[in-house]
Amino acid sequence: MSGLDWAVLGAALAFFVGYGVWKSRGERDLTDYLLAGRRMRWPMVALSVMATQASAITFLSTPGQGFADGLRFVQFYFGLPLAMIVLCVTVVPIFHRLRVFTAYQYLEERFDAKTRTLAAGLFLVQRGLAAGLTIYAPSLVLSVILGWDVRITCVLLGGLAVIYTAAGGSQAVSHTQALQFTIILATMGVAAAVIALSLPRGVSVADASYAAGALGRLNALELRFDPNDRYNLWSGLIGGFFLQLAYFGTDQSQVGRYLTGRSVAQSRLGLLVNGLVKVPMQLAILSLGVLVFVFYLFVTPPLFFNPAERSRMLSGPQSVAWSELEARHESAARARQGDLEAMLAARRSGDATAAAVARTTLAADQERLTALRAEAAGLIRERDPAAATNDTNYIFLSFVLAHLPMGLIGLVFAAVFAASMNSTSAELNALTSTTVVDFYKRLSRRPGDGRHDLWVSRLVTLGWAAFAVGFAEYASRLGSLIEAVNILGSLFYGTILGIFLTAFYCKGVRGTAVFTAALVAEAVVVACFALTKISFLWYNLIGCGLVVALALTLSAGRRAAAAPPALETP
Amino acid sequence: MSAPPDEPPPVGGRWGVLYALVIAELVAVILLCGWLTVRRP
Repeated sequence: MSGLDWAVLGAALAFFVGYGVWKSRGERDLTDYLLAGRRMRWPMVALSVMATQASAITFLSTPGQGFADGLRFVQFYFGLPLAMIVLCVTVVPIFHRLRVFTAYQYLEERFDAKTRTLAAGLFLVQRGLAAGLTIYAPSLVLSVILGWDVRITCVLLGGLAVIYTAAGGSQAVSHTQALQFTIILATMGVAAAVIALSLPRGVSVADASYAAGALGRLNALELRFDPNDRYNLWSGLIGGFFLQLAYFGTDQSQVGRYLTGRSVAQSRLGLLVNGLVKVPMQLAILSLGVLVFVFYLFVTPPLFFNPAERSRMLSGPQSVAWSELEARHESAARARQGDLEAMLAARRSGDATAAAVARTTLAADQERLTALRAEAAGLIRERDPAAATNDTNYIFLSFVLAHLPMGLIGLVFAAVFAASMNSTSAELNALTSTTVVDFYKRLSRRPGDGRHDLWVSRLVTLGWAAFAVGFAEYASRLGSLIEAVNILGSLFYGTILGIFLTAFYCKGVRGTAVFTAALVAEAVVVACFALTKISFLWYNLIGCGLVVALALTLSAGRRAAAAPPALETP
Repeated sequence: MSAPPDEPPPVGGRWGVLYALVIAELVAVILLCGWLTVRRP
């Protein structure tokens, strides 16, 4: 990066943190600190909800997915708008009416203290570890791209977010999220425009779309039902619906965002705007990746996008084999470029037969390049079986560094940092709310004291930040655990959602029945993860369905046992 | 502490109108995705 890029990045980070601290003025009590005084209007709620869900890895990984696999990842989000509607109808009015700080408070009102403690505890375990991963995943990518030690990037990402989160709580989080998310979207838009303008002279957007379509990068919909396939219409609509319902309805990092709304209407509008914007936004970010793919049809791409692994290969014992592979890759990329130009020329001249032949040749070229990339991954694994051979997360930033103009590079890096700070700050705020409201305030039995509660909350935020950064540092030494932590959300969400759905819709069920059902369902979901190949999106449905069904069965059994014997008629 | 009085929805005066809008947009995006998939260059 140039001096200008470093200046842009440094100034942006200082501005984000300063803005967050400035927005933390005037807080008096726990409602201000944990729910921004319940004063937010819908645009702030919408931006905050979207910023919380879109972590840095979203902006790194999604364009990479678009590059490698096309648009089909968008199906993952199809259930989200439907989940927003269900939440607006059911959850939002109940939480507002009860004036709760956390979702789990409601469970004590509806069931009992042990069910509230179970749900809040499951959340703290899952979200505490996930907060570490939210810091670790982008830290790893940034450390490789910038050539820094991963421990430094972990401390930097976690440290920047905690400064204003601890100082200003939810109010600072909401305001910085709104600002940062707007800057992120604007930066992505400018980057997309620059990439489109970087295509060779004479190549139109229609040509780019034609080339992407010819190589399968515009395949966005898969109608075939397969429970083991993560991305198809049905897993997106059904599995995705339950995942998003659980995430937005029972995960405090989201509940805490829309409870900052000043009324039911403001919270509802915030969620509905998220329902309107999220799917098109994901489609746009994936399209950015497809655009990068098209750009690299005209310019030879790197054989492997992770620069650290490439350097290790070039300085290791397999350097000759690697160099030879790079040469073969370059020659295959040039051949693809020639066939692409032939295909576009045939298209422009209206020669359908020649265009069809060229398309077939181009597809064969692409397969050759994909095979060479697989060969490279195999060579890396040969050197080090534990090495990371998936370079999807590195594609976008590698492209940015190599091809975007000075100044914009610094802005894109600032956007990645901002995205990480957005999600980390919301997670820390949610962990603090749950720890203070669902555990500390219940156990301490200390009379309400606004200033004391405020300082306890700040200390708890610092404690969770230290835990998250510590776990992120630890995760850097435990590559195989990372995938498990990634699936962690789905391991717990279904059970927690089942508890909440039972609370909302099964009026006759009592605390002990739902508590027992939740323990059994959690054991079944963990068994599914350990013993089957079922895609993790379905765990939410399994866990949720089991809790509701078992709770209803146990309640019916209890009622039957407790019913007085029928009187005998003479 | 009781909840504040609530506000009406800004579009159409009914929440159902907004919910229908969200569903209509989702259907439109799915149709667009389908069109991109089946469209042959």
